Amino acid sequence: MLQVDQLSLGRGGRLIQQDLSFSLQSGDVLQLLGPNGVGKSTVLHAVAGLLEPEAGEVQWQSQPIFSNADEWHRSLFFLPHKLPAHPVLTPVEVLRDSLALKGLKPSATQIDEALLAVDLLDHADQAAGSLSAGQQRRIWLARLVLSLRMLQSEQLWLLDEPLTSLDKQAQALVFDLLQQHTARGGMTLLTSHQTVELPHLKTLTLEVAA
Amino acid sequence: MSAWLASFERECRIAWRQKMDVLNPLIFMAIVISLAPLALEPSPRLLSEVAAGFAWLALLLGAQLTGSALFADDWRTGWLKQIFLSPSPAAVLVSARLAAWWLIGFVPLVLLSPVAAMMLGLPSASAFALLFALLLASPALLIFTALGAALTLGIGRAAALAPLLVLPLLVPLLIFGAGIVRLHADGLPVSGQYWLLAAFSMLSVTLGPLAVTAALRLQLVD
Repeated sequence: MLQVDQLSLGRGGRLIQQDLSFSLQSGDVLQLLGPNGVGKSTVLHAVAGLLEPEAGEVQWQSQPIFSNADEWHRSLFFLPHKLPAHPVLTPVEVLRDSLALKGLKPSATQIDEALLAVDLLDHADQAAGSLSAGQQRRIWLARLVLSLRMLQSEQLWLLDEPLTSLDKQAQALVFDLLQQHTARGGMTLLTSHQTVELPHLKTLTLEVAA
Repeated sequence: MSAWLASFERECRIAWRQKMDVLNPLIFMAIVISLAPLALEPSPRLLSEVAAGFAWLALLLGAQLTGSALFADDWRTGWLKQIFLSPSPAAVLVSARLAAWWLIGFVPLVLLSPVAAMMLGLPSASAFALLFALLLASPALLIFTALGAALTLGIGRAAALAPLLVLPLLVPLLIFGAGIVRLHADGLPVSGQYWLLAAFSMLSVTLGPLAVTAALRLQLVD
């Protein structure tokens, strides 16, 4: 279970969120809503532990996330809004490097299957810099596929604008992946300006801090 | 360890695909050295005296060319965040990045320096002293350059700022390092200077990755 307790977040010397609390249970999908600049991405960064909050605490399985960073990082997959695909690397390499960071060595077949699932197999050995924005994002959808198939420990997905640049078909794929993740008891915290078509979706609207 | 190797391999792979980034400092050094006789009085005696100093300067500045943008791609693409969210300690992965860059960015420069200095007439015995001094100093040069690169990430046009930040800190290294060749040419013992460079580098290698990691941690939210 993820518990966010009385979180206050600053950015550029200004307090943008105050006393934010929410929690996620197994199987939950929570969408953060709110206007631009209200701090949705900042909340995701703080939950991941990349940003130290001004006050408050994030707890994973009833422990502060910093008390067992190793375990926390195994349980988490964070998809930032910016795309972590180095322009000279191929989709296959991006996926392999990303899993290596988690200590895993996927087989070529496993990677190919994941790329096939996101319709990117034809571009598997093309430099990411020569792919379109939507295709680059699909690399990371393939990473989500691998998370479902190989990383049972990744119980929490933090997705920052996962639907950006995606066509209808790829968006449907994201919803499908989210449902599979929910079905395995995973939790998802996401931000999106698009409508997320999922049953049992929870939403939280962030307000501008006073 | 496997995560370290995987990171190291990734950096080498990227460098291999961006060969110009690796070649630029080498070309820079070759140009500086070949212009020196034109800028100075072209007497063999003068040139052989300034050769080692020029080689040091060319290496120091050449290393800044690519070094000041060391983490720029990883920052821009968000890969840094993935590094900090890996179960392996971030400092370990950062050290892999630094080790790869030492091998790719520094070793060729260090090997080229004595050759370049010999082009200006440095005697070969002194060229070996120069090579050894640069090799000993290179880890420290690397760490300080990386620290500058990490601290100036996210600031627009940081390429000019990082060297300004870093180069003053490298002055002691430059003074002792460049002095070695002169002392060596005069037949004086230089082992003290070598030990000093080695101590600088040892300190940088042990504490440097932690410092660079701490500097990078400040840049994770965009």
